[in-house]
Amino acid sequence: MKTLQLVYVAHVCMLSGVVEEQASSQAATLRQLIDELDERYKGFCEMFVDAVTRQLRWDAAIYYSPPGAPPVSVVNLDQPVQDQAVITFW
Amino acid sequence: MKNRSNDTQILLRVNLSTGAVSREELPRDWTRLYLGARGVNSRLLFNEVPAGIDPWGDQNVLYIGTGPMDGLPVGNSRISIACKSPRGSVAEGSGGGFFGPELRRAGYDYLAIHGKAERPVYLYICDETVEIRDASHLWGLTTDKTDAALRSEICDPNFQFRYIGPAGENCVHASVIMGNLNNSAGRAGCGEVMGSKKLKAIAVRGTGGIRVANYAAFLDAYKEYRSRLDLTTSRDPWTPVWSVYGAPVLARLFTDMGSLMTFNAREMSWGRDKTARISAEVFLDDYVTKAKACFNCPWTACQKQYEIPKGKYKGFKGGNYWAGQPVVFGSSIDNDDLDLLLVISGLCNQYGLDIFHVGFTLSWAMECFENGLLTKADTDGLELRFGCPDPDGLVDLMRKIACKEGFGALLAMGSWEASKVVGRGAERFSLSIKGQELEAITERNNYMVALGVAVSEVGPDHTRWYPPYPCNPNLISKEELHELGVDLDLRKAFQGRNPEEKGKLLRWFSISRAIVESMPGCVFLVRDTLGLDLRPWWKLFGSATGLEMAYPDFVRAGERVFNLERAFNVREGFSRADDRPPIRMATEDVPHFGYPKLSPEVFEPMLDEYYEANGWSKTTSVPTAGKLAELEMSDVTVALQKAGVEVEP
Repeated sequence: MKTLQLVYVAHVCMLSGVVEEQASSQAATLRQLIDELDERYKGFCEMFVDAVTRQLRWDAAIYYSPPGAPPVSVVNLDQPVQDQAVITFW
Repeated sequence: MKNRSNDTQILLRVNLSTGAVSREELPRDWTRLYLGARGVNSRLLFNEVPAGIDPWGDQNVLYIGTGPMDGLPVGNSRISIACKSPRGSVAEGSGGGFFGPELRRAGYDYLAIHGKAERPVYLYICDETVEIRDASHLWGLTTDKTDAALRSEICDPNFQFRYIGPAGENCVHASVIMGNLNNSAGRAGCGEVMGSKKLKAIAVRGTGGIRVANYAAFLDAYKEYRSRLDLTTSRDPWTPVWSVYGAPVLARLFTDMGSLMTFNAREMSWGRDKTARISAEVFLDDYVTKAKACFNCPWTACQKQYEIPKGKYKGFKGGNYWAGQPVVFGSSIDNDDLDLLLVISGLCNQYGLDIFHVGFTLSWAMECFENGLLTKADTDGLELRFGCPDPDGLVDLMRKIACKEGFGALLAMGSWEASKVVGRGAERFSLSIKGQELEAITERNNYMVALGVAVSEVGPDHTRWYPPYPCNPNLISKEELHELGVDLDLRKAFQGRNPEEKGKLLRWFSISRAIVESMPGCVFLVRDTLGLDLRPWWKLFGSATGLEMAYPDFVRAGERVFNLERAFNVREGFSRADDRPPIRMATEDVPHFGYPKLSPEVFEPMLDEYYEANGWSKTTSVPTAGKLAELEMSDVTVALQKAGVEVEP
């Protein structure tokens, strides 16, 4: 089980109802994390994953910060998720 | 007033010293060469404002320009305002609202304000009627009261206005020209110059219209342009974010990225809790009363009017919360009280003060105070520390800055000039370039920004090069880029702290912005690929004006614009030595994030690449004679040589 800091920006907050939360997750990849979040916040997957290509949508962005490091823009949804990571959805 | 065609450009000249008013048609080929707005203003400025004149004197000219898109349903209703800045460089800025379309409907594309009035005046324009009217009763009024007084006096709700507040009247550093209460423009010095001319306001009403040359082609071009900005078809992550929340969301992203200037950029990250308290999300939930858009904007209504709902500032009304305020009135002065932030920001609009000048001069003063360079004896007793322990004192300081009263008179000079008064190394805390304060986007983790603000002819101004990187490097293939004339590696250009390709990318975005601001278009309306692929703009321009131009000629028009501005600056004595990052960014690493300072080893090669890509001298930054000839501007070479500027072949 991993502990993640999840940050939701702008319109994503409309779905999540919170601007930030600490969450426990079993996800090994970002894609799995998005699936987990979709169960909690219906529509999350649609907001970030293109229905046809199954890749990150052109009009969505995710920043991923490994523990203690500055964030980088995500291009591959299959990248691993580490414990204590900070992930910003916008 | 009749409708008129869109391929001619009419200039209205007003001389405030003599009262003379005249109309003239600008040379027909100027539309092809400089497009409009910022482009034509740059040519007028270079031709008509002689080198070395006193910016406060009657030889300085204030130009207000529209362009071929103003008043058309495409929704780019900007104006370009230009003059010689009190800092010696070009002063040029654009503003939105409704003034531009109204001016064109009155039959004019440009205003040139010459001379100086003996007493306060305002300019009244209603179609052919042009009058210089007494404004003694308006002098000293804040911008909101000026707006109300003019509306009451003129009694026609269709009039549009531009005015200055007390800051402009008192020639306060970087003061702006306002309109529609909260639309500002011209922070590079235009408000100061308008004040020096004793011109309080301009009122305009027009009853004519503009004919689009080829309506069917224009509609096709509009559909293509619109698809890049539409929520369902835009390929840009900013489109949904901007559509409701707007630019202040950046603060919450910036703080995690080491991009949020905090404690006058001594730190680059603030607490997430503090950032959340002043966030766009809280602002929208608790403060916004109405969203407003500029004339026919195809995108989001990005301007937000607000009212403070409770507390000691309850009932205070203002407008607009952009990316800048969370930085300059939030993290940079360590203020997480959104009420106080919005009051200070709103007062800047009412006094006609520039938020970046005020914010970064405040944080400069706070750092000086904490380092003992300023004391309570200097600050009229104000405890000027980070964290804002005396909020009421801070609120009152806004008025003092605008009126140059007490300690406000020092801050009214801007942080660079005030540093010279304070001495003892105070300039190391000044976040300024060419005497003008920075904006919100930071430099040490985004080299395109570092280069862009350093070389900007008007001082730091994100509208000169925005966006700071392509929204996605995969949007356009290398082959398509080559077709467009953009020969650079977009993937490298996308990497924030890789100095490679930044000069070439900046050159392209400089061309892109010059074109869009000459339409004129808004800085937000270049999302998706609209900043890289200029063909949608080219099609809009061609169909609106009826001018048939090859695409490379259209691109060259944009290049002319900033070459003219560079030529103006070098004629005034500016050189490579002025294209610098602020001292802090050049000498200090970003704490906690591992981003190094912008050392000469990082910065100088980027500068070389930019100058070389532009065809400018790497030694002096002067455009070469060859480049100016290629741009059909050999007359500029002659003018520079006459002024004693060395122009390399």
